[in-house]
Amino acid sequence: MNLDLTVNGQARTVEASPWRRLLDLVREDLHLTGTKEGCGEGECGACTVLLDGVPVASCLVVAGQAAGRTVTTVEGLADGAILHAVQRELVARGGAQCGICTPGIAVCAAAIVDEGLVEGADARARVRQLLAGNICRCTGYQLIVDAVVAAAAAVQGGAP
Amino acid sequence: MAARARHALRAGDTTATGQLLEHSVGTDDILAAIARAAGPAPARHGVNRHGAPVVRGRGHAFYFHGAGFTGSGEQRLAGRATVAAHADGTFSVHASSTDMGQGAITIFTQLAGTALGVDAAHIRVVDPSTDAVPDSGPTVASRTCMVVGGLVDRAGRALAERLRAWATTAGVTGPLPALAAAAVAAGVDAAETVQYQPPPGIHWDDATYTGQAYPCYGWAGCLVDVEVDLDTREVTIARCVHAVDVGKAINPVIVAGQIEGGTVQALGWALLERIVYKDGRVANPTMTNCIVPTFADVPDLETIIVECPYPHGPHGAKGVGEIPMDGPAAAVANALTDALGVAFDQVPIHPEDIAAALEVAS
Repeated sequence: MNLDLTVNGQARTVEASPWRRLLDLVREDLHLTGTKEGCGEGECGACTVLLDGVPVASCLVVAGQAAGRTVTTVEGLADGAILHAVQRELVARGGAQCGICTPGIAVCAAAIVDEGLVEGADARARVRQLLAGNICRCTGYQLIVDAVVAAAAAVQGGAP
Repeated sequence: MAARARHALRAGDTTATGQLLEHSVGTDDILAAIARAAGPAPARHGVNRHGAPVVRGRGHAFYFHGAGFTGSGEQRLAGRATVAAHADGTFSVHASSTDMGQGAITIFTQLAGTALGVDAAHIRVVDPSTDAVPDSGPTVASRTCMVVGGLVDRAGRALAERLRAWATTAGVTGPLPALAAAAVAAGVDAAETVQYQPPPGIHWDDATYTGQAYPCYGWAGCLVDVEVDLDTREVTIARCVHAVDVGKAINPVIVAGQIEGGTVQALGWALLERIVYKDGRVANPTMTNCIVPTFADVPDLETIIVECPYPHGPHGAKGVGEIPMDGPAAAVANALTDALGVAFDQVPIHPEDIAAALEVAS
């Protein structure tokens, strides 16, 4: 069947089974391969996308659930050539190694930063709680926490 | 730590394989770094945010890890790397080390750029396809920066020397990229391949397993503070200080990433990751039932880079990839012993293991 949805700001119509995983629709039908499959069972967060602005594991969402809604993948975070503050800080601070978890972390972190959830004296602890659904095996998380807190400060200071 | 300070190896000491440690032994710098960072031990008893009684403890570990292949491995591998100049004034680095996120491309770019005296924009590290790169040996054994990076450094310096010598003869002047372009245009062989040469004094006897087990060693120390919930036996890691002697941090951000990544894997090994085998198969092969640490399971890490240069590594660098895994689990076990008064001789240590150990002890 035809599924209508908005992906990274563009209206798209995709011929797909409503039971298809949103992950497969994004990667294989829309060729947005920035989103990665990690565990495929909702544990690791590598496949995180935003559904109406809320982080979801796209391996656990069926395409039919996304019909009529907006999906944001890692490809939709940047505004043209201008990276999202989270992406900029991940690059600047070395918050990525092998890169498999990075798109999901960037998407989830952008959502919590844009929602204003990373602020106050306990910002680092909040990042650790709010990103606990995204597993990284390489970095030890430290430089990612640094990046997300710095991105939140930049966004609060008026940066894009 | 006093016992470790008394018994640890230092420069001038001999290892179990009969290796005289001549240089780059970070023991005293590591112990001093940990002591400086330590601060007071946590209060023994308290209450956590759930209102449950807790008992706290502190543990240490101190360890060393060989960099490069064991024994005569590097001589047998005889790894090679190439730096080549191109007509457009750029340079390419050819080595078989794979960058799987640990930063090989960045490090090789830095090393080649420094060796050639050109900036990173002029350097390209080619993908390690076997038809495009010489055999530099595998991407393992904490050897990529120290051994293969050392080859890249040597090849880069040799190429710069060759290009400058040609330019002098040919009467060409200008910065190295211009010399490179002119040399390639003139048909000069503008690629330099170097092969691993063991540092002087490296001998290993495969028959008796004695001699220089490794060209050099990294040294590290870890301090861990834990808090045990006495209702649930859940362990929280309150602090983790990790000091690692890497010789020279060619790229401190990358080195910190290597140390922190290894630290968290080791903390997971200490408290979470139990691989269960049943009939020869792993019975918990998914992330649902083999639990690894999340952002929320570890504290902010206190990473200290210590630099006791290795004279035969590029700019003094030695290995960093493996050593961060070696100690934190032991430090956690020691911290639990400090907190609970019972010893643990295996990891992971789950709440059930703590309950059982306390039951045996009582």
